[in-house]
Amino acid sequence: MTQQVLISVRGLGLTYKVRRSLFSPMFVPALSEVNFDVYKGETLGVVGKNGSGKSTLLRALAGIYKPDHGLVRSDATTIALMTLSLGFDPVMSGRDNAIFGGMLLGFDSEYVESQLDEIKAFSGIGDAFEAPVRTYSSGMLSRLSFAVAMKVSPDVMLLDELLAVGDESFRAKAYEAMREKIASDQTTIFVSHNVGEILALCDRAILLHEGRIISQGDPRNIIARYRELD
Amino acid sequence: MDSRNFHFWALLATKIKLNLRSEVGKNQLSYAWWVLEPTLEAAVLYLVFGVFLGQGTDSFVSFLLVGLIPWTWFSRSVGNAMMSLSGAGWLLHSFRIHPAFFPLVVVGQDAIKQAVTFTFLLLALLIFGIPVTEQWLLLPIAWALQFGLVTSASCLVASLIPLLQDLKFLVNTGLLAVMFASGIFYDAQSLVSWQWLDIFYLNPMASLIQLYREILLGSGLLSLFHILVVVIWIMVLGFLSWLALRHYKDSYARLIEE
Repeated sequence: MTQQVLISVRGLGLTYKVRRSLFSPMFVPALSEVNFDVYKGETLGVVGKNGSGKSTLLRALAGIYKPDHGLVRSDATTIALMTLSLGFDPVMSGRDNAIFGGMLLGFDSEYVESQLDEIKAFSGIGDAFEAPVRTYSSGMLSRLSFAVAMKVSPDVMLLDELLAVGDESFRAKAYEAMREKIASDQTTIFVSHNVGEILALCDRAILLHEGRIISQGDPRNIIARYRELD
Repeated sequence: MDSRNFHFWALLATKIKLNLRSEVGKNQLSYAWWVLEPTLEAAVLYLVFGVFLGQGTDSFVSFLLVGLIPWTWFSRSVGNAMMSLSGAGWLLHSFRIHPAFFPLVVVGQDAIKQAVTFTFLLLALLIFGIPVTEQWLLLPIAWALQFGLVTSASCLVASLIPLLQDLKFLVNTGLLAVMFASGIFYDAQSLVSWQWLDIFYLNPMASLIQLYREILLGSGLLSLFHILVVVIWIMVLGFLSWLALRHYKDSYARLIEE
């Protein structure tokens, strides 16, 4: 069976320009010569040490960062990056942030508003849903982000450490919800430091090291190689 | 309009609505501040110019209010929009969003508040015995011109400051200079010498305030020259901000810190 390529990345390179003073910028390479494909319906894991370029890669795939070299060709209509803070505004209530966060992920306000009761219930934050998010603990923030993210289904879902949420009981609930979503033919690219999650959820994985892909394929082989990097 | 464009405007409208709602919830006197603030400013200026300098007539208060309220709108929106894009790293690094979104939220939010403030202005003019004339029907023209000027100036400063942070000091000084050169608390027609008057009115806020006074206080017929000055400024500032936003659209996320 041939699989349909949904995103194709060729020769991707991206460099950060850090301004030290007006005339002497410093250039920090974040990604170089990155090549891989993402197939429709698969769950692809991205592993690597801190600073290896994982978050930058997801942002380039989402079209947030424009590559300096190479290209990202995509047949997906909607690609959404889901992080732990979903662009929350501290002065707005959890409810208002859920509406705005859902819309930022590409959905219309009527749809998001129709999902609010379920978002509130899933997050388990109770009446705090109506309070400004500046009063939230980091656990409550991530619960709300996760609840919003689970209610939307873009063509490609990019998850940056989204499962590192809340306390143990919520993490189990989040993991189960994520497993169901992945099982429903959702194309997902998944960044995590949790080796167990990569092995349990991913069909394939890529290993990033200093901005380059040094290995890609079966998650078990990738994790073994990742551990050798220590 | 394609669905992406439509979504941009829907997102903008939602953000403006949510911001206004949270602003009201934050302050105990909520909406009252939209009127209290210009009233307090007018009271201070009245004390200085009306009482201390002996110009304390009702017509002077009206003259002052018609200059001050449009000025406050302009300076506040440009001041608020100035850092709107630079301070939006928290969103720019997580979502693909057009950079014009950020100054436009500020402009939209302030324009709604100004609609309330202008209603207050008209009521105040009635209380001070200013006669209602047919000219008042032309108020939407001046209002639309000001909306255009505020939008183009706000988008320009917001789009340039992430490229050159130091520009914010220049904007603040520029706003102060424009304020003194706009005839808010003096009558330019009688104080500025005639050979400089046309140059004085090249300042778009001076022309705009003169238009407001012509409409609301009956100080002459609506001048095409003043309208033209404002329109040209809108086009120039609008074009420059369009150029900057188009050129740097994909770069802001990496230029602005998270």
